[in-house]
Amino acid sequence: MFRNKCFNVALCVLVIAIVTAACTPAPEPTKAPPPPAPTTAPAAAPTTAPAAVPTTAPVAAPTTAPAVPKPTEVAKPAAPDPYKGITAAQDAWAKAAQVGPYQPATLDWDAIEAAAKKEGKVVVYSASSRIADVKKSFEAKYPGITVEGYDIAAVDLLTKLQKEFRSNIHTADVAFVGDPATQLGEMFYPPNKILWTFVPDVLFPNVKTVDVINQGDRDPMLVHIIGGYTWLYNTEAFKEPPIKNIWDLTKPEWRGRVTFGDPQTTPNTLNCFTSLTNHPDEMAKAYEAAFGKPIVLEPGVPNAGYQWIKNLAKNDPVMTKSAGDAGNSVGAKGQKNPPVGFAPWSKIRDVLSGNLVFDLMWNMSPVIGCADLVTLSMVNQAPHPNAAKLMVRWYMGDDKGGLGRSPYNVPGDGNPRKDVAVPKGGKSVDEMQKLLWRNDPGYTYANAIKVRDFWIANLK
Amino acid sequence: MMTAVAFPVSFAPTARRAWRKLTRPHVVLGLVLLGLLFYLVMIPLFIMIQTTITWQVEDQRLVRGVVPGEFTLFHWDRVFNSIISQAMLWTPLQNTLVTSIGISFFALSIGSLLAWLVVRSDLPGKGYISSIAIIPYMMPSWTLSLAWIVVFKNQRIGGSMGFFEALTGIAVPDWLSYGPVPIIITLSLHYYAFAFLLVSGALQSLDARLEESGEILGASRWQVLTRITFPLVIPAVLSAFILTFSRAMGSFGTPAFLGNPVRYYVLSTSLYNNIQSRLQADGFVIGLAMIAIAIVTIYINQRVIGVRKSFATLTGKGFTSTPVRLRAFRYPIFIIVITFLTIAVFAPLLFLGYESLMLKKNSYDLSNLSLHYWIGESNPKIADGIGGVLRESQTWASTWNSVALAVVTGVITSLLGIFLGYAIVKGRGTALSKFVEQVAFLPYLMPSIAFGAIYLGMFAQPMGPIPALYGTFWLLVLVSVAKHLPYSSRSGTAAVMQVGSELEEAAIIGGASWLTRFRRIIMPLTTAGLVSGFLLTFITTMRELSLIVLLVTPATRTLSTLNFRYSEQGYHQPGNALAILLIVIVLFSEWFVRRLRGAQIGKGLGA
Amino acid sequence: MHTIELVHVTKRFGKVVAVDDLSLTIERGNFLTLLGPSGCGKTTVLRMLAGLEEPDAGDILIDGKPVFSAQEGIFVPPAKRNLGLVFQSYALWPHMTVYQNVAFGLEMAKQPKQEIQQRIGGILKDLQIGEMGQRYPQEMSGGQQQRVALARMLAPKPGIFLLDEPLSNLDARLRVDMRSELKRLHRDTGATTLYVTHDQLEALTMSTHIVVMKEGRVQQHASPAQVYRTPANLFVADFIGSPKINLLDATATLGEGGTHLKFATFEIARVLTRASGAVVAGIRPEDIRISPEPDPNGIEFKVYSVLPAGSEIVINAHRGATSVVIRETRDIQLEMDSVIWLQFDSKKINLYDKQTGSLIAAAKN
Ligand SMILES: Nc1ncnc2c1ncn2[C@@H]1O[C@H](COP(=O)(O)OP(=O)(O)O)[C@@H](O)[C@H]1O
Ligand SMILES: [Mg+2]
Repeated sequence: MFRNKCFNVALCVLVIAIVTAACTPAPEPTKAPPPPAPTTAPAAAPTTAPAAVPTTAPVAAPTTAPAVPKPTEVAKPAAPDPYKGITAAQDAWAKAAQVGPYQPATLDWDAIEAAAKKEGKVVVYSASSRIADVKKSFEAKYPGITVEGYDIAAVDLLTKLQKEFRSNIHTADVAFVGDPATQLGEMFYPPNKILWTFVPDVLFPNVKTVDVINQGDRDPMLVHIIGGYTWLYNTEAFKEPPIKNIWDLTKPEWRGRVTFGDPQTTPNTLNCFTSLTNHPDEMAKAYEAAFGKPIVLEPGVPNAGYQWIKNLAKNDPVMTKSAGDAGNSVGAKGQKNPPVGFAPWSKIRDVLSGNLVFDLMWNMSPVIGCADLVTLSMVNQAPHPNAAKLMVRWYMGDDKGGLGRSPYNVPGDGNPRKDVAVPKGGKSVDEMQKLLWRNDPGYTYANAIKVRDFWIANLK
Repeated sequence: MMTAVAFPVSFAPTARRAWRKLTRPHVVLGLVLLGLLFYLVMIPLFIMIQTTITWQVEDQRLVRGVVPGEFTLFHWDRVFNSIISQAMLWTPLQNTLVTSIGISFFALSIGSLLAWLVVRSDLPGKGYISSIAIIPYMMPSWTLSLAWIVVFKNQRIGGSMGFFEALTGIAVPDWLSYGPVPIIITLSLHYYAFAFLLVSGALQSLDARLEESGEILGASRWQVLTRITFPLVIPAVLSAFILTFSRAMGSFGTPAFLGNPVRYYVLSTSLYNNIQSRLQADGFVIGLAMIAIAIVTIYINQRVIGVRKSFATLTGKGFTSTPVRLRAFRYPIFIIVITFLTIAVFAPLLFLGYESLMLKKNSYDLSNLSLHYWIGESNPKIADGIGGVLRESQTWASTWNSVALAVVTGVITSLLGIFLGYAIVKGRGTALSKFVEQVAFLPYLMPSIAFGAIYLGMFAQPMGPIPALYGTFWLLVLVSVAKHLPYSSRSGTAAVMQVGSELEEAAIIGGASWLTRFRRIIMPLTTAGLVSGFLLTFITTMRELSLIVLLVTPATRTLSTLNFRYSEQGYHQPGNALAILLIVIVLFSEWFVRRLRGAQIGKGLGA
Repeated sequence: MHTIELVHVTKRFGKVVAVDDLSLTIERGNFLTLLGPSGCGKTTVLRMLAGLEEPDAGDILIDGKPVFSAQEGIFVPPAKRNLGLVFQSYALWPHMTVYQNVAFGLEMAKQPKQEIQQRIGGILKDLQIGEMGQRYPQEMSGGQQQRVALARMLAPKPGIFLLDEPLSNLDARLRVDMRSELKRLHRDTGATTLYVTHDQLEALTMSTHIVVMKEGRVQQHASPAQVYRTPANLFVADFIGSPKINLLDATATLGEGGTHLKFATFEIARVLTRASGAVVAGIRPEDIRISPEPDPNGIEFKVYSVLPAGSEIVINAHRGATSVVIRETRDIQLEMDSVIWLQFDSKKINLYDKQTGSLIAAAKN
């Protein structure tokens, strides 16, 4: 009775559903034009060429992907206003909560704390499990305010926020999550004003925020972690970095011995590969240094960054489920022929604790890795805005990297605060800025999927 | 004038009759259930299709200036006919077919053989063997793959060696560590239990006299087996094949663990990859392709055995028959079976258990053993401060959630199953009954991940009679109930079928209302099926992952999702400890319920 | 104690016409048996009367009041028809004790506990299962289960009994015992009874009226004696009686002193029933007299088989291709293959039209 009759009806259902679906409007309540494309503020990243998708009138939407991905070259527009076009309800909320355009130059933190106590609760969506520690310390500091911490994978977190926004559900107060590309691309500008940046005017222990954090790390979004992702080698097997040039990874001697998180499932890897395509000249120069001849792009390959990706894809790379696993692979002790790999810099703590043996390829040209940011935002129409403000300030820690920062005060997870001593094995925010290419959110948003497609298409 | 007067006169009785027909309990019930199914199944399917043919916000990343919500064939074109189609669809499709057919083949062979030995032969210790043989079905399918990695990990993904290499010093070749071979092996070792349940159900209800008459006519054992037994159970075996095939195709954890490191993708992992990249619409296209494949297999199955199944009227009654004597092979076969069960059941637990005791990941030294991940205090230096799982309050909270979810889902599902069974059986032959039965089957074909993703959006707002459930425990219940509909309707149908309709009619004559009949006659008489259905749902819900992974919140996190989160973040030892905890809870519950009510999970499958 | 009428009732299951334009009246207090081969629609009639099945056309009346009418769209639910039903399978609820089974209907009628207890105690005792109230049906023998089913039917004191092959699951001896008990029960309660069976002996022994059915149609509605003595057609003739009636083809001519029948291998003159042309003669086995000695009025046959059954002997005898069955109650010794002389009782021969199979003329008796 189970196996047999299904076919006919199921097929009919499919057909009917397709037909009906084709004839009915979409369920999304936001049938508005696409949100303004993201951009980075001009001063955001001094070493990167700011790029963004211009908010020009929509061209006729093509129905197929371009056969060959072209990096989206963009003119530099004026930064769009993240508040223009917000709804009356959002405006009313912002006014009451004193955020966005209504945030006063100096905040009365005692009043905020008193109001927060009344709110009694703060809901944090966190892409990191260390929210548990933040909860502990925050609740100890502010008894009477319960922290409801949701530890959710980044993609799910963003999806959840979007779905909640579209359904007019307001549960979250604070979002602690990476992928600023998507945040700026889809969640920051009206009509999809899902996230608000809240920058506390002062931080513990009573320092002015503007004095200790670069503008690029607080505008348009407040950065909490400058996550370094770098190329690593096993120090037990190699006395010195075996690789000097990023193109060496594509050479036959490293065939099957390069490992990193699967770009299809680990966004950090994908973003960092994408950043290579945003630096075609540097990549081309490095090619010449590695092979002694200028690069000749294969047909259909847009630039040197893409060429590197293609060559790597053809070199039988080993992909792991998470970025961290690649670090374990590289750094495990007792390997005769260990791979080199691309992993979070913060893995270095396993080296310091003696579990792994690896180091960064400090001298690799043109770059040893990239920086992917984790940001802290307030969620639109947050039910507990004052508690949220306390939480954001708590997250930013004190001058010792303590308080809400302490679980993240590890080497490799760069701290935007310049007044905090850098933990052993890490680098300061400005040094990291020089060592790594910071992923540009606008460029990443407009190109990462194209890079992904390119990668997939070239994998055997 | 005349006709105007005559009309209502002749019309009223017809209307009254029609009304009476419509208000018969099974029709009302069928209509109500159809409404429910519409919400739980049809709308999700509809949304899935709709998503694939409209622009999504995130499509801006690929095509500038799109208007979300407008019609487009972009996603279909992208999946079927673009530079990434080969990698995203065709190769995974091929891999899916290879692994799923391989898994179904081995699972069926092992399962059927074991079923025959247990039901029909004089194998020693049959009772124990059949209880042990179904244990893999109660473990999450991915635990085997975790165990496989513990043992056969090689240097490819680098890092630590597996047990095998550590003990023997022999490097494990890639094909044995990752890819189709281990996927097929581990999933076969899981799904054989499913096949075993289905086939032994069929064998039990096969009238042994049919075999005996063959014997009396002078057929040898082998001839009886091939000429009588096989043809009679082949419809059941084929349908078990299809069921296994569909489930193998939809399974996600194992191919992700064992396939991804060598870039061996199947449709389910490809779907997941797309959703991970927020290419939900593309993912749904793949999901629909999976549904289509499942439908095609069912269609083929129907074609092949459609004619034959008519004579496979299994009586539904157990028949005691003299078991087939294995003679000289009795003990050799016994030893083989025991060895097999050891490998399939105990070895994985052992390896997982061992790894959960390893303080550092790489060292197989005895000195490295510790109970830290079980009972240790949180230490920031180890696993980012995750303490022993038995100490972590998270563990107990999620255990509670898992049990609550499984119990509530189990109760609702099994009750719903009886209702479905009632509407289907009593309406046998009517279009409504058929429709209900078929729609209830649909969730079986829908990939769990896609199902969860749809529910995430769908029940955010009030949905008809259902209030906004977003982020609540009840959303998890709802999605689990919906996903179990195929099983519940199947087991419910089997259970109601066993209650002769005269038993209910006798109560009608006695003047009992429908509710009274249901409460006093139908329910008590279907208790065995009800409890078995409960047990099955309980077990599968306890270990459910992909269905609810998108829907859980910290407040509603379950053991399996906590486990997944741990292993996602590379905390293997506490993850394994949780997996073992979960398995222990499931096994204990199964034992408990079985002792209490004599239920069998086989019955829950409608076998 | 009700009159039951079925008027032009038809019931179809898909293409199968289970009951075809059937009209039937059961007078109050009668014991009417529906008799016919399996699949002829007996159960369907009974179920329609019970209200478990809705006819496609026709009316059903109890005491002149319609309980069902296709025309007027009337349908009275089973519980309101004041009837009790015993299913062929008994349909006892296996999860209830005997007591609970029997009490169910009374509970539904919201009778006080006290009364229920008394009533059930009485019924169980009357039916000789007084000690078994706390048993479950599975723990009882077939005969006892049968009594429980009867008790369950009797408990609410229905005015109509519907019994669907209630004895068919019992062994032969028990069946005979139960027949008389059922008959007694009918008499004591006076309930109008519709009894369904395919066993003609049951029908003949128990009923006040018999309705013989075939393929959904009534073949004959008469008293048991009439059905036996003058079956309305060949089907009924063939169906009723054990051993079976002899049906022999003959050519009839009207002659002096009666009809002259010419069979294939012999002739009978002066048959009292009048007919001519191609006929079938129906001769009951007991209406043939055997003579082991040569008999000038007899016709010579050869004994083919002898089947003694204690009180009677059934003999099969051949004459050429003609074969007849004789029932003999005298204690006579016959050898197989011996020659005997048969005398047909010309007063008791029924003649049927060979074409239509219906009775042309009934023997006067
Ligand atoms: N519920 C039903 N569905 C389809 N056909 C039925 C049903 N009930 C009875 N029939 C058919 O109707 C005919 C009469 O059945 P029934 O009344 O049970 O016969 P009887 O009781 O005389 O043996 C049979 O051909 C039977 O197959
Ligand atoms: Mg019948």
